[in-house]
Amino acid sequence: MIRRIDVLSGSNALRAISPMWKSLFAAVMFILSYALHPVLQAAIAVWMMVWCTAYARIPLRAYGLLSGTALLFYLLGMPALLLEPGHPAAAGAGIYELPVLPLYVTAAGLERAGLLLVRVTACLSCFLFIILTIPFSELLQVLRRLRMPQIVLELMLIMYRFLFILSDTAHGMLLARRLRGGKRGFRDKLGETAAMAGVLFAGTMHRYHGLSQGLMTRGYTGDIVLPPYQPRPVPRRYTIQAYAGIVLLLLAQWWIIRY
Amino acid sequence: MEYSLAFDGVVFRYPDTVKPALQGLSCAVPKGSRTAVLGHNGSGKSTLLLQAVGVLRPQQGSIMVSGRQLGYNRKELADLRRRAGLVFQDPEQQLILSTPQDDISFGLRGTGMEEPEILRRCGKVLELLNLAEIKDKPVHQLSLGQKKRTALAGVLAMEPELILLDEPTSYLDPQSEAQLLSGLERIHAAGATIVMATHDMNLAYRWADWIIVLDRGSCRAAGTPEEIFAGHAVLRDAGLGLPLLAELWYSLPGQLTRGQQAPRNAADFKSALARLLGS
Repeated sequence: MIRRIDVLSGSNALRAISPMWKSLFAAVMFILSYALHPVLQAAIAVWMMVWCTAYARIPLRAYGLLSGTALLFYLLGMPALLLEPGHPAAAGAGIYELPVLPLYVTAAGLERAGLLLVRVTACLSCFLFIILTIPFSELLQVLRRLRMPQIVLELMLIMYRFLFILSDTAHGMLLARRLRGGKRGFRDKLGETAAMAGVLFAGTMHRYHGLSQGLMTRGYTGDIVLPPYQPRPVPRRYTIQAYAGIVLLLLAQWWIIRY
Repeated sequence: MEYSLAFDGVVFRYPDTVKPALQGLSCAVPKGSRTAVLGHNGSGKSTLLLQAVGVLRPQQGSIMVSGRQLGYNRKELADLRRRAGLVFQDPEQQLILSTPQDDISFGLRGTGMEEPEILRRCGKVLELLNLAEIKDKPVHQLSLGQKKRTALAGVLAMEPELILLDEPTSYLDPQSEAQLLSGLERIHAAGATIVMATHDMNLAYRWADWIIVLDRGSCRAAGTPEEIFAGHAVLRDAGLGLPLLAELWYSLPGQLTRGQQAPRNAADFKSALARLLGS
């Protein structure tokens, strides 16, 4: 998945547009996603999906897979939001008892879960816009411009490099074990996974040692100096659409509050 | 003879090991040469290279780079890193930033160089090593050959006078190897001294003009390829074989090859053979 994200962020149709503009646009939409009425939150989710799939030409399948995977975490939290333990004190409207189990669902719980789903989807769509349209290296430049502490940027950079190195190593190890027949049975597989995690850890330490030697030979003096931010133009078509959309959302919110 | 790199009685032992990796190593690399450091696995080749760029510090002996004794304080090491660059066997060890363009400029930015000069140098090495087309591609999407060339480009951008390479052609296909060697050829033509640690005897035979043979952490022999490859016993004792062309040449009857220089590549061998058959 991470490789897919990386490829898409480097090859999407909005790649050439200023990363700073895209980040700020997504940040504004994120704040609106949090603050506006649920109907408008749903509208934001759809609109940001249009930016990703229609303007940036991210395949719908990839977009759906990513947002679906992220929403799985929401689903995991659903029982805590929906279910009340025990039996309701008095049966009434908006209370639904589960058969067999001593659990029940209230209308208020359902509403809460629904509202949260809309908000989570809207906020997620803003994040997806950032990660699918801005390559990581440009994102770091934006964060640096926004005065993110150097140490945080360096950690992000090293972690990003290691993600791919480790995924390659783990993939190679898994393949090698499979080719050698692997293990059968749950217990054996569990033992094998634990052994692999141990080897992967040792491999990580080895890589870490190698990378620190590499940094030394390349004149590392305590700071990884990132390339400077390069300003890029934003086509008028996109700026007009973005500003008009934001104004429309604010007007709609004003109208909803008023009436 | 002027030397770019000289080791004098260098002893080094890794922590928690019994045998020293380098045992009184004394050898020198002539300035402007293409030197191959030969030796079997564990003979001390990589340790020698790490010593030469100051990553490891000898427990005894001294090292001279371009006539200056190696010092290990921050300032001296920073100065050394501008004069000598090391390309690791595994390029993942030294690729730090996300794209070739950014990574190549890493060392230059650390020196506080002006942006136009950084861009000029990056453009030059990208062109030299045929990396211009992939300069904005994420590093983890590159092939091994492209990663190796990117790692080399990062070192070359610093314009060092001494370039050290640890097994540069390992795991490379013939096309990637040819691209890498042609890049090295151009760098050497520009005046740099290149030291390559390898156990690829065929490569060393056709590429190098100076050979150092390492065995168990000390220098077994050093000299021109003709001197080294004519003495089969030295190579055999060091656990190395003869390159194919040399083996063929020295297997010819002595009265035929006497007084003639051993051919260094297939074309030379063909014409030498034609001469012999003609006579």
